[in-house]
Amino acid sequence: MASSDPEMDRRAFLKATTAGSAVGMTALAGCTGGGGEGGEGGDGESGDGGSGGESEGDGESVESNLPTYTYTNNAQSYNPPRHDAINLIATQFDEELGLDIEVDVLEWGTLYSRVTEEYDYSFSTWHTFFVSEPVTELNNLLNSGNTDPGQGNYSGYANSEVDDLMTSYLGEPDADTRVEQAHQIQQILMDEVPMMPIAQMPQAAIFNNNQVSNWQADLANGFNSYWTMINLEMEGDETVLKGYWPETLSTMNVLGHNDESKHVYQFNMMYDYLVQLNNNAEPDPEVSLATDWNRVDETTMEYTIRTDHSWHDGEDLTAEDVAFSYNYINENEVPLYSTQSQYLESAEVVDEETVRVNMAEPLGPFNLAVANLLPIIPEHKWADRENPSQQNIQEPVGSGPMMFDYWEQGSEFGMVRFDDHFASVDFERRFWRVIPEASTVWENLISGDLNYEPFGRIDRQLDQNQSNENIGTQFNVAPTFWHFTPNERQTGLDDVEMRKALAETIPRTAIVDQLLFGFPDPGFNVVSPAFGPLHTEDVTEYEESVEAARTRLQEAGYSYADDGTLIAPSE
Amino acid sequence: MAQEEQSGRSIYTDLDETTGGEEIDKWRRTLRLWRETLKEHWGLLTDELSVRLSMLTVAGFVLIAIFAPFIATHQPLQRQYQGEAGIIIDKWAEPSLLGADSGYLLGTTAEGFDIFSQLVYGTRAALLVGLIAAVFTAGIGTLVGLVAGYYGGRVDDALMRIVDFLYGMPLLPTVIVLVAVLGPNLWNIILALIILQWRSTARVIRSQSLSLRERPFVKAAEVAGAGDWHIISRHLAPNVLPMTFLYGSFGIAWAILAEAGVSFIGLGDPNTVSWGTMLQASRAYSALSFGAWWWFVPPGICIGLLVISGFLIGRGYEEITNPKLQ
Amino acid sequence: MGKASFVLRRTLQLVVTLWAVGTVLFGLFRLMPGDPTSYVVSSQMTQEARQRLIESYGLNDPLHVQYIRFLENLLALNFGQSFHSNQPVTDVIATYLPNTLVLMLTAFVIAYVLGITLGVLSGWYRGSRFERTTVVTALTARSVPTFYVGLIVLWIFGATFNVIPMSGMTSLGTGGQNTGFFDMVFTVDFLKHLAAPASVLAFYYMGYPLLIMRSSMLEVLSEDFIDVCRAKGLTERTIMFKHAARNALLPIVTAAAIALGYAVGGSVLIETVFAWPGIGREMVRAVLRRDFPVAQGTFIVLASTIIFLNFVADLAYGYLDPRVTYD
Repeated sequence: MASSDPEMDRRAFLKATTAGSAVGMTALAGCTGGGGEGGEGGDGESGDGGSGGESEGDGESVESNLPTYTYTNNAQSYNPPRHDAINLIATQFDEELGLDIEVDVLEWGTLYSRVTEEYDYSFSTWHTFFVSEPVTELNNLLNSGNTDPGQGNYSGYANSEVDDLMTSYLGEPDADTRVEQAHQIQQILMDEVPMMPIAQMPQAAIFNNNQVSNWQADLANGFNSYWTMINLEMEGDETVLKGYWPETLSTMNVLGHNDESKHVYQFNMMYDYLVQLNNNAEPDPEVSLATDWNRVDETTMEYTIRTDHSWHDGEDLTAEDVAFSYNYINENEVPLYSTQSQYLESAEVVDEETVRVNMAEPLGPFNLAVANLLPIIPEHKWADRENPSQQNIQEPVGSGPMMFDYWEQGSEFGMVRFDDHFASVDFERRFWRVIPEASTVWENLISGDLNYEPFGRIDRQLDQNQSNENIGTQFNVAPTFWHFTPNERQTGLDDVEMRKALAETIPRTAIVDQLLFGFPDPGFNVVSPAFGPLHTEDVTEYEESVEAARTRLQEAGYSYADDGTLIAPSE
Repeated sequence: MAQEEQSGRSIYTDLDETTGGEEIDKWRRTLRLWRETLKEHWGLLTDELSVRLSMLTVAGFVLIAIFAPFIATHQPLQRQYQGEAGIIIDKWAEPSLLGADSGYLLGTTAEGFDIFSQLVYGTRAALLVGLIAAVFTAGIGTLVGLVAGYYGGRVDDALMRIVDFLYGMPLLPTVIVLVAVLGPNLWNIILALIILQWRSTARVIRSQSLSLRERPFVKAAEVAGAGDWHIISRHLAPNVLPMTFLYGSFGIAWAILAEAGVSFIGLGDPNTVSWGTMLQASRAYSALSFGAWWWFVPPGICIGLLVISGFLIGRGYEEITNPKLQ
Repeated sequence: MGKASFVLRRTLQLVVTLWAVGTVLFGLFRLMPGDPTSYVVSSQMTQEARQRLIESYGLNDPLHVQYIRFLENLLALNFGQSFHSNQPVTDVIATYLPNTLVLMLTAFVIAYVLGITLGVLSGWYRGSRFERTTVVTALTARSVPTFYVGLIVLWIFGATFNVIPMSGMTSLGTGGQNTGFFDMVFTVDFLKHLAAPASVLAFYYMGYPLLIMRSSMLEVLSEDFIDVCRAKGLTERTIMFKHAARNALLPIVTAAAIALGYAVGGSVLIETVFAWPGIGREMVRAVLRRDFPVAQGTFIVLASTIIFLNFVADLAYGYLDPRVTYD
């Protein structure tokens, strides 16, 4: 570790220890790793924090005209494989590509706001794209109109051609035209790589096969979706679905949570939605609150709803409730649904089984982007509540297939079956226990004290236990991926060739095979194959080769100093 | 915890008389007094077997820390690869000490780092935290205690209010909050520990100082016109030294345990290897459930050894401060 | 100065200390990097929505306004609402604090009963092998981190031999069964879950009273009145417990009060290891996700516990030791 000089400021200290620890890499790759070789005991003792590729102990380094880049990383305990992967990538950039990289380990919330609000980063990576509708999300992330602080475009990417394509997609009512547009968007994006997928993550069903079966996934929520739950079958005499989460839930307020999966997975069972999707991302009227719908014009949808349905507390669910839900969320500007509210103008009751929704602007994929996402809430409970997102709800009332039963904070959360639901579930109860420790989870899964794994942790334990006779697994392609996003506001990262070279340097296969045990696929397209027809294979591909990256950079005018530091072309 | 009462005698008072006649510079006399005091302590201390062993242990760890680059087989945060190509990470390797054919004495971690080297370099972090925190804990605490006890009155009040306030801050949560504010970094942890830990030393030294200043030899010095600092450094300080060292030794122990705790929660310095971060990593990757006890057990043993040495040395001083325990 | 003014002064001190702790805390949390609202906003929100949310939490107001509000609320014992769950912080504290207290108190009782007994015996049997072993064990127990012992216990007795539960206060799936905290606490299931963490903690805490008791005994045993007792012909046992131990108990009382304070503050480690839903763990999580109200509230509760217990210790010492004057 670094010398005992207390005057070293933190940055130099970090740089010195990271650079130093990486020093041995090139020198020793291939050697048996003996520690006694001359001069490389200097793990940062040289103190000048030179850029990557520094040779043993001579302390000299050429100054590059590229700045030091910060790669934000989550804490190890938060997500060990991702923490590892980022360190691995950073080392590759530093050692092999000749950049000067500093890895900044941050607590998750801090990291997220540093990147998405303050734009104070160079590279970032996390697990993203938990959506059913890709272009809405891409528009959020990459539209040049969203580049102001906190608006969603943290990469700083600006391409007016893509902007136009995305906007026309969103306003386009014809599904086939949208497919064409989606393909074009992908092709441009994968050619300019503002965002590179490192690994296309799988959706994982991990369960005790003696107690549950028949796992079907949907797109956005994988094996934790409404569709999954209503198709699940219990085996033997088992009547309880037993899951866990490493952390406790925060709230029972369907309008006031932070969109974390753990809350989404509860509320998608506790509440009904106008439109529910099947495992092909198609609206299925048989399991939706709306039995039929009709697009009246480009800004108006009409829904026919069930009239025989009721709330968990016995009250009837009426068309008034539906209209109320949409209006209430819109008028109160509920932050969680602000993206959806953008497209809403009003909702009104036409007759006791028909509700009309008026859009503020035309939205093509309305069902997938809005009707599938806005929960139907009881008017008799919410009408008197002001400031909905800050309400303290202890006993939520919904109309979904599961009813709230108990919540022992920090310990366990339980729901029971709502027998009068039109899409009933096979199990009588479902509970989630708070278990932070992975090994405890596996023991419980194998013994049957837990019977499914909603968190979907991909780690060595999964790798080793999946062949256990009590364990069943099922993997699907997911829409989600680990993204790698450079901040184009920083010098050098607005150069397409640089970004392409970075994409080529990322050891995607090594990460997938060694850190994620081969469960995902190496990333190649921000619109994953899970999106069916919207996905296209015909996009620019990047080989995983540092050599190719270096060649590319050199052809673009970059050069390398003797010690391996990368020098950008002077303009 | 220390006793509020004082031992009945001061074994150092006669030193004043014997050196009285010589024409030596005042400060050199003070220095000689300190030296002789310390020598006397040393004699009493090393009489105890447990203290001797503890000192040897600490010395051993210090040597390991200094010569770490020569003892460790690899760099602690350098990923190890299998074979020449540098592509496949050599993780979860089993220890060659147990007979496995891996080339790593204690095997490797889930990220591919050599455990033995981490253990060796972890000594540096432990000693850094322990010794710096201990020196400041004992030093600041003694200084404050002496000043408060000697001057009394408003000075004493003010200082003790600060100590009261510090006593009100729970140790681990405060360190956690400070580290969260300042950043997860070894120096911030040390700083956080220093800010809090001197409180107990200060209280005890103060009460000693309070009773010492009523002693005849101090009164005599005052009457003779000796300066405040002269009195404090020559008459009071040597008498409280045993207590200072006691708290210093305990300070090493507490600091190392606190750092281990903070690192275990995940707020440790991510760029430095310490035994605490090793424990945290081994838990994050569920080492024990894979049977890789060689990753989890050694750091804990090292912590235990160093901490118990600190306690035993401290207890050695306790016997000096309270002769009834001898 | 008499007892009354002593108590008064100490009480005043208590209040001032509490205020100081609260203020420093307030400052520290405002200094923390990272946006507290990042946890309550999601990437889906528009910029206006985000701003509105930040304002509604009062995070945009000038610092002194926030501080005044903080003090006012503190006096009313209103710690605000969690940023995360919008629950009143007092509810959060009421949920988690009892869990920590029951764990700590159980561990403490075991530790002190065992510690005192062993301390008396080792003081009495000075120089014996028993004494040496006990002292070394006590020191070792304090030298190894509690979480380490906890993890090893879990590994050996939980994972390998399966005799103790691996996490939590109750068994999986029993959530809705108990109607309240006191209901749960008296079930066999709970006691089974309590056994391991309480024992691990007791093992750690035991060292302190043991060593104090031992030193105290040694001091008392050198006093004259012990010889008088012997001369009177009292049995060793009577002397040991009725006379020596009673007098040696004094420092324990104050030490116990102080130690309990520390215990409550350090509970996060064992709560993490055993997945025990306690207030220490909750405080750390609140700090990490910048949930100011919860973090402040829980911290103040912990600090108040310590300050109050120190106060009790002070009073007790002043009361119990006739040699000390109220100064």
